[in-house]
Amino acid sequence: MKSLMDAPAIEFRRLVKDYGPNRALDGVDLSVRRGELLGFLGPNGAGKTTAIRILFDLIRPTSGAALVLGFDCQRQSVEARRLLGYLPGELSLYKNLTGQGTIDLFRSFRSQYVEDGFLNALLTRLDLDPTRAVGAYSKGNKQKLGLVLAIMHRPAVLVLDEPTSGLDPLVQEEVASLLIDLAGEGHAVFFSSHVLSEVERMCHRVAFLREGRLVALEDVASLKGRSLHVIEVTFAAPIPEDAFALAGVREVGREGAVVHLEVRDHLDAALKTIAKYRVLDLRTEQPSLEEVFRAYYERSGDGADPGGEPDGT
Amino acid sequence: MGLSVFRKTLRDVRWQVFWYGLGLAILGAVVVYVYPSYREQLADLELPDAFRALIGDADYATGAGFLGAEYFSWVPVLLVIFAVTSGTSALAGEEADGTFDLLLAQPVSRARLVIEKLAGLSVGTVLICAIAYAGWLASVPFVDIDVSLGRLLVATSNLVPLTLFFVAFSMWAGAALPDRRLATGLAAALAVSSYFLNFLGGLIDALGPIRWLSVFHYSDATNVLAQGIDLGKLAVLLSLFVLFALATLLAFQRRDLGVRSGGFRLEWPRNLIPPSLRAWKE
Repeated sequence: MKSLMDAPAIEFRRLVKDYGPNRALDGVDLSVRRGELLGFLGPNGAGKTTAIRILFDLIRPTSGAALVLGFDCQRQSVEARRLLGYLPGELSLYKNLTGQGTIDLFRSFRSQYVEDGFLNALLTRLDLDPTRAVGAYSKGNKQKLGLVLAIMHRPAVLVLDEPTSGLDPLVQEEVASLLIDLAGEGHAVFFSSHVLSEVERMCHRVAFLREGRLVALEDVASLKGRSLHVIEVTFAAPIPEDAFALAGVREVGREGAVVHLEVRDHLDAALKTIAKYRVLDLRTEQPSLEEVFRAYYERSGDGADPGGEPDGT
Repeated sequence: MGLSVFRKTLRDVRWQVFWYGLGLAILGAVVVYVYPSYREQLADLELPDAFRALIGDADYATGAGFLGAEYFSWVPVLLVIFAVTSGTSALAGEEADGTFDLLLAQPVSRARLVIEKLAGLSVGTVLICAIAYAGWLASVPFVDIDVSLGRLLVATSNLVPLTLFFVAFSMWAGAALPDRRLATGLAAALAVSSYFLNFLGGLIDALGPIRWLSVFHYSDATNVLAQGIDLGKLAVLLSLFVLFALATLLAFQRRDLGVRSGGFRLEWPRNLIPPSLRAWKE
């Protein structure tokens, strides 16, 4: 029980996974705290799903370890899985069962942990009719059923691979509030996504994975507050090509006299440069996480592949 | 935990069990009912060697010889088809369908999963043979045929170990080979080559010495009705079943489970990226 008290909800320790010559995970260290909503972001092929599947012992790490509340996901995998709830990214359900049949099957593995009241409230909240055959479900309904299966036993650690994919915006909202409620009750929620706005809105922290490496782990609040300004300036006339060749300023686009800039740290210099020309309009936007992260890589010079294929699997 | 994987496995094959069983029962009954009209002509029939090799050593004109030739010589092939389809579906099929992801994310050990699935298919096999036996009950008492129901029980039960071996072998192939098609291919190749080796081994002298390589040789379904079970051969078959069941446990324990259709990929993980996730281009 000591481990349950002290251990983080999820811990990756120098996790490495090779598939033949391809390295899918290259020494990932990460801990997820209890009661935390942690977003796991990264381009396709970055290794998010690989890391998640190691938690469930579906695949085995080449080296390193993954732990759930102190239980080793490989050596104590049944104990670890007892504490976990899972929504796979590519959800496949048994087409010959009904929604209720599916719930009954998966419930049978952890019957003592599923309360009827909670289960029924969950079905109502997600507006899911469990009497129909899974084969006849829409993608959204399958996804809802997957969420019910992941959540019904109120796992200490909930792991979701792209939880809101296939759901309409209203249900996405409902799922987001459900996850926030669970985190509020002390459950850890670890989910991967490529929908940045959703991560920004829900998560406490964000881990960013790229080419099998953890390149950033930040509080969402501090990330947003990071000094990055996205500015769109409309000049009266086209300005010289090299006008913004300043340190900390990046010209990300230009259409005629309209210039898009990302300004890190040196806002003053950028504004003084802008002021040299006649300005018709100026807008600044809240930078998205994507923009913050892009700025982040380039600064930290994580330069294994300068400008290389972003989808490097 | 309540054996839910066992029950699910049995539920998944319930219609196959029913139809295979019913089909075999009807076949058996029909063969018994036509026997009296053949008996007269069969007594002085000179049989070609090839046919003799297929139908076994018993006298074709006796009830046991006739059923051996017309039923037990080829019915094992049907059961082996059941064994290979259900055995490869049990592991390789679920992996290819992607349903293992959620099933194995539950607190169930892999060993337990394999054992419950194997047990489910074993019970399914026994049920098929039990239904098939009903065909004898519906025919033998009403026909003038010199075969006892007790002997038929032995001969029908004797179909079980061979089928179980192919169930275990197909599950092993699914656990050890990269994907479902390879597993099905290997199991089917073993079944076909074994069947013909056993058949031709009795016909062609050159193949006689290697007839022992065929698993059908140990089942000896054609002759069991007339001659009873050879316990030595039965022991070999059951040992092979246990061997492949254990090999399945080991292979499945070590396996990295693939995602999505096609299962485990040699060309990892390019194919692993679901098209639905391709939204993020940067």
